Amino acid sequence: MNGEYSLDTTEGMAASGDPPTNNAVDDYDAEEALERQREEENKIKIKLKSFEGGVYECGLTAAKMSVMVANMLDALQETDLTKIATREPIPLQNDAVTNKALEKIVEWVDHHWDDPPIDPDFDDEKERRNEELSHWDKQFIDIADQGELFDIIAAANFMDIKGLVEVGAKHICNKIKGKSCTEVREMLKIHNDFTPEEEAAIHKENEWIYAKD
Amino acid sequence: MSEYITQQLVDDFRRDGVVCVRNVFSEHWIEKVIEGIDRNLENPSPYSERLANDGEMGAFFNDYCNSRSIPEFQEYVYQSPAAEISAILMDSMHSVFYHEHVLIKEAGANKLTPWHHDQAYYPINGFKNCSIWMPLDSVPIESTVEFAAASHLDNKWYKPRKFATHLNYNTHDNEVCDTNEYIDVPSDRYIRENYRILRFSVEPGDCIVFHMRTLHGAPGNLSQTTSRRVLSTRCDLDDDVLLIILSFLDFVDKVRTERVCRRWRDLLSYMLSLQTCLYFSDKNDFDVELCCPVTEPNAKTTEVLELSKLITFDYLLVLGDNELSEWDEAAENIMNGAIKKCPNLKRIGLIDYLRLESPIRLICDNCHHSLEAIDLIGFRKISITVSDMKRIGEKYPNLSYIRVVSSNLVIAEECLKTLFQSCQHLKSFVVHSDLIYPPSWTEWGRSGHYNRINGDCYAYMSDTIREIRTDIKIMDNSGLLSLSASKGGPNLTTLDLSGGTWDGWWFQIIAQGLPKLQVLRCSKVSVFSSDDLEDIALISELKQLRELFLDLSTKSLVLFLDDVVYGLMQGCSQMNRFELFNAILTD
Repeated sequence: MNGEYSLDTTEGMAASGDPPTNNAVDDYDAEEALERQREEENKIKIKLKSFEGGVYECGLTAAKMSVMVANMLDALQETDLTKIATREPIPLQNDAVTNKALEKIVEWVDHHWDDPPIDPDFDDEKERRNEELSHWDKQFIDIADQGELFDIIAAANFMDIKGLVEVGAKHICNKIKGKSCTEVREMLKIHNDFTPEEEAAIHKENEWIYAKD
Repeated sequence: MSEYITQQLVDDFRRDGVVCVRNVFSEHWIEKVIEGIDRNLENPSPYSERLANDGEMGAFFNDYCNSRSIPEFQEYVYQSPAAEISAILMDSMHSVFYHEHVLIKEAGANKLTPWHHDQAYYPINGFKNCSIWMPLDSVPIESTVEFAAASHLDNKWYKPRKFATHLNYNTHDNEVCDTNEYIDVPSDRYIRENYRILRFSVEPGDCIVFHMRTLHGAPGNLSQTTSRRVLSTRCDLDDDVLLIILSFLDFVDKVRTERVCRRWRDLLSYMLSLQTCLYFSDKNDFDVELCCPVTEPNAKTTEVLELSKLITFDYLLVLGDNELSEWDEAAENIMNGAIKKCPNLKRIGLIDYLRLESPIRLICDNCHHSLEAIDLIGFRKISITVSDMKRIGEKYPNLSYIRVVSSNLVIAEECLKTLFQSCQHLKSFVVHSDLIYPPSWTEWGRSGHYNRINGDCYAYMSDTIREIRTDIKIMDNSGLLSLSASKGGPNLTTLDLSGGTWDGWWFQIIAQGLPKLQVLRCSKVSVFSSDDLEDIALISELKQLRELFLDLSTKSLVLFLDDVVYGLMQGCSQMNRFELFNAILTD
């Protein structure tokens, strides 16, 4: 192992400027190995089955972006990963996971599979929240049919794909930004169930938010 | 409102967690569901269950999740008034169907259904939900389901129990999917003693709608002739996803869009309640534990955040998050809003707002005129300008106390004078700071206790003060303490304690801290005991003790007075004037 990656290791050391301790070498090797493993695993294709019965194929690493799918695969305790490819499709039992939604979800994870995984020890959620959507994500999520868009978000939430839920949420919030309540209702087809008096009362209660001095 | 549901029913549902809606399902729907149940009985699913006590004739049958395979159920779910009823009662635009559940108690089945609530059995979160219980046979009052009114508001999760054995399902070995804490369902007796029990005799066409957290149970079917067949359907809204989406709105948009609809308002106000840490207390007291942090979503705090309740608070302690690396604009906005809604606020404390620079402005912009005390503690840097002080004086005529504790304080020299001139009731202005700018203040020291004396003048006490005026008036023990601790204190010759409020040990402070005191005035000082007088004897240089008012209504003191005065004269050998004001002394 050390022999194989010796060249990379020295480069890595020089770049980071750390003293070349054995620990650091191991860390670097481990990281490299993990990346390779992810790459190899993504060549294995697994099948996901939508609620409507449609079956879609997707790389293993990509599919594991869904925490739910990853947990299901872990539960199989399958040591030979190639066997997973020949298994029955994994059923996704939630009515939000329509054929269309699953197709889009697979497209998204296949594009994003090599994103650095979210590290729970280093919670940069606040930063991520403020990050702009990438160009690709913007085009991906710009879906005219609202029902389909909501299905994708709900399905991604069900499958526990944090990144995709965030893309959807940011997209909708970008659209809400700067719109009046009436416009928001129109856009999202929400029925206003307040009486005019109630609405005025809430407006008055929140007046301080508009006051800028 | 629809033709079936009145506002009264909606209110009842919200309050009790259960309502009975009469005459909503026509003959058509009843027949449809009966057909569906017959089909279900012929082809029970693997989930179905048939329970009977040994030797009893009737059985209890239940089966669920067959709406896809039984077209009659599907029709009922999507086309009958059930969806509309649930949406209106849940106060929602949409209702989402979860599953149907067939429950049959055949004639003579004596199976009790134990007390339980439904939500614990399901992977469902969120509060806007309901079950519709639709009977297909008449159910007399003796054998109808019983509900514990308002139990859905308890914010408790009860362990699911098996209907067959009434024992809890084994949840220990299963992976816990949520953070709710599950407790045992209370005993039948406890429920009957502590809740209003609601029961409805129902006819086909009626239905009972109940919240999935409302405790309910059913006695066995005592009637020997009719079976009791019921179709129960459950609805739930996917609030989780909407909550995630809305969480990406910025603070202003969150507040703004509260007006979109009721569901949004509920979700948004819940979210806003989690965003900042405000401590409220209606006790005029610094014990933080008595206060109520909004970050813990318990019933009390959500009430507090309904802000209308704030009207009653006279003390507001706002704790900043000192771990936040920067002052959060959102937190500031929430705080401003909350403060504005406390019209009776008498005392405000801002604690640990490391980055907020002009808290005085923030307070002046938001607090109502009733304010009497301001506490600013744990700031990294505070700037106080003359105009700030003027504003305080104009806006808060009753202000009597200001305390500023900051590691870095920028305060204009004229501030103090302006402050005491504009706030006629101000008694104390206390400053503790590591660095004070401009430097002329530094000479005065890092901490000071300013007290009003005779009208517009003020006295200043600090650890570095060299000279002190002779006619100082102090109002309380802490003033006395800082006076005795000041460098000028030991040289003080005249002190006026008139009208102050004192705890018992104050003469000791004087004796130890102000040894050169020659004149002591203490009119209207009512707390006195013989011990106090003995302590006065310790002030060896005292020449005049004036306007001393002794409450000699207690006989014991009269008896000892001679001794005490003798002791006093012994201790204070220079004493040449001793004025004692007391009417009862003639006794």
